[in-house]
Amino acid sequence: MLNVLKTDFYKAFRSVSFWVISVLNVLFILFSSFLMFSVYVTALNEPSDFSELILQNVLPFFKFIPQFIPQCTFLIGIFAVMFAVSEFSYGTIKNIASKGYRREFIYLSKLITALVVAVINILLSFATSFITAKVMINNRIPEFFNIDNTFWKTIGKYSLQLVAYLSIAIFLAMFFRSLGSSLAIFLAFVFLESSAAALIDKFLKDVLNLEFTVEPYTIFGAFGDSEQIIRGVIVLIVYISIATVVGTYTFKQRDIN
Amino acid sequence: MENVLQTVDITKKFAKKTAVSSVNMTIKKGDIYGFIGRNGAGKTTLIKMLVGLSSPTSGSIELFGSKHLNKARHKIGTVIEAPAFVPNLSARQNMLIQWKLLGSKDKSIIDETLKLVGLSDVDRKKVKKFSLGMKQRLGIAMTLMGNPELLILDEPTNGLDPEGIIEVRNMLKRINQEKGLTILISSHILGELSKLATRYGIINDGVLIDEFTGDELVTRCQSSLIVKVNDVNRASEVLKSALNTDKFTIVNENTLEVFDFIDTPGIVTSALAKNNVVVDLISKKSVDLEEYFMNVIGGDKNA
Repeated sequence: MLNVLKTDFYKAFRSVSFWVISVLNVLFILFSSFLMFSVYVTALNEPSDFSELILQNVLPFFKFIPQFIPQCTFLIGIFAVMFAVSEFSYGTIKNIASKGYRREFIYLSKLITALVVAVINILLSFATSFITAKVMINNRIPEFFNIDNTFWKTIGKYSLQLVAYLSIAIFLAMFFRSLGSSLAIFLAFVFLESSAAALIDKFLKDVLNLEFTVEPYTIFGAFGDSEQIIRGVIVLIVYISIATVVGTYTFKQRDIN
Repeated sequence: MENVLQTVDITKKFAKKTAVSSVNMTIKKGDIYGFIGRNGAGKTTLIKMLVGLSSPTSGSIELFGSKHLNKARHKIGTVIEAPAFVPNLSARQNMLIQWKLLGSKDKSIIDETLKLVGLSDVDRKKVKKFSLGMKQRLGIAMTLMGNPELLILDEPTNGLDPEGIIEVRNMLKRINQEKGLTILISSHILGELSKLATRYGIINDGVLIDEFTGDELVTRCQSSLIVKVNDVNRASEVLKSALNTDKFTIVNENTLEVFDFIDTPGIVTSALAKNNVVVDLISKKSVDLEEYFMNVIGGDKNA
């Protein structure tokens, strides 16, 4: 397992897609952070009633920064799909599988590599945003850099959602084994999940007169209700488990061509 | 001699086709096993089952005397259909991936192997810029990493120029002799295969129809004299009485095939003439692996 993981790390960090996605991620976070902090800087530099209102409702840095995790999901998911599919398109999966490594290890290694890349990208995002905030705001807003007690909880929730999306991305890549179909389905899932849930909920309510809603059982809406954290965690663990178990099973059963 | 690979009734069925049917293949230590079959005969399907890329529908495989295949497959180096690399990495980086995969300790093996296949001076060139021949050599280099005990090569000389084919052949012969490496090699270039293999297996429509050694092939492909005469019965008597041989067959009413006196056809002509048999034609016939293969599979089909 360790040898497969080592080769996957090596391949991931040598791949063009890793660097392109990391650079895009940093640029995106830089741009988002710049826009956000510009509002505060303008409010600090040009006092007015409106500026006062803005400064009274400043979102502290460590409340604002976890929002980047869902934003990174899209790019990291694309990387995960491209990385896993490349093994099939280059044929290098044959080099690994023919060495007698268990298929479960090969599958899990892809997932772990995608997660490590995700952690690196999230840390890069945080660092980019932190440096931008330090340069633009520094100590001009009191307590702006204070960490409150919701920070780690929010990080945990978003991270679990990210793992669920990556599990789906790796499952699709290892199942379809072609970039076009895997990526198309992954992107459709990420972008249309909330709309599809809303549509189903409307159908259940308007047509079937049911009060049941599916949104809390989606990855996107798992933590929609702040009172139901445990349910959200269970929903996401179920997604991760099903994607990984079904993905591993199908990968094990099917031939590699 | 110990068996490196043995299959028992190995079968692979797809929805509508049986690609491999009850194949019992045996490869002994030190063999260079030439695996022959036309396109779609089941060669690659069988090889994929051997290396674990495909599961057999039924039957069993034994590698190095063990049925713990995953462990045994660590001792196999494989190139199937085409060598596989990460194209935007260099030859050395691709070798490094294989080195990491095998969990090897000594990195110098990368340089040694690249030198062995003649790629040491282009080790930093990206693989996507390699010619087909260079890719084949790199593929073989990757299979040699980790000192495998069995090499499984599917068409390893594809895309190589004549010089490259000779180099690969000599290299495979050398590692077979020096390291005692067992090699299973499938190739369409049967002439080339006959210069390398010590044992052969012929597969046709998923069935292993023949297995034989290099020596047996020589016997089966032995040369003969085709003798056209006016009276085959009289000629047969002359061959038996005057030349004391029964190594001949009557092909048709005026043709004999003689498996003796191949290098001295004058003796046959002279003996027949002295006994009033008119010899219309005498010619030497020999069969190579290609012709033998065609005869065995029974058709004018591509290998």
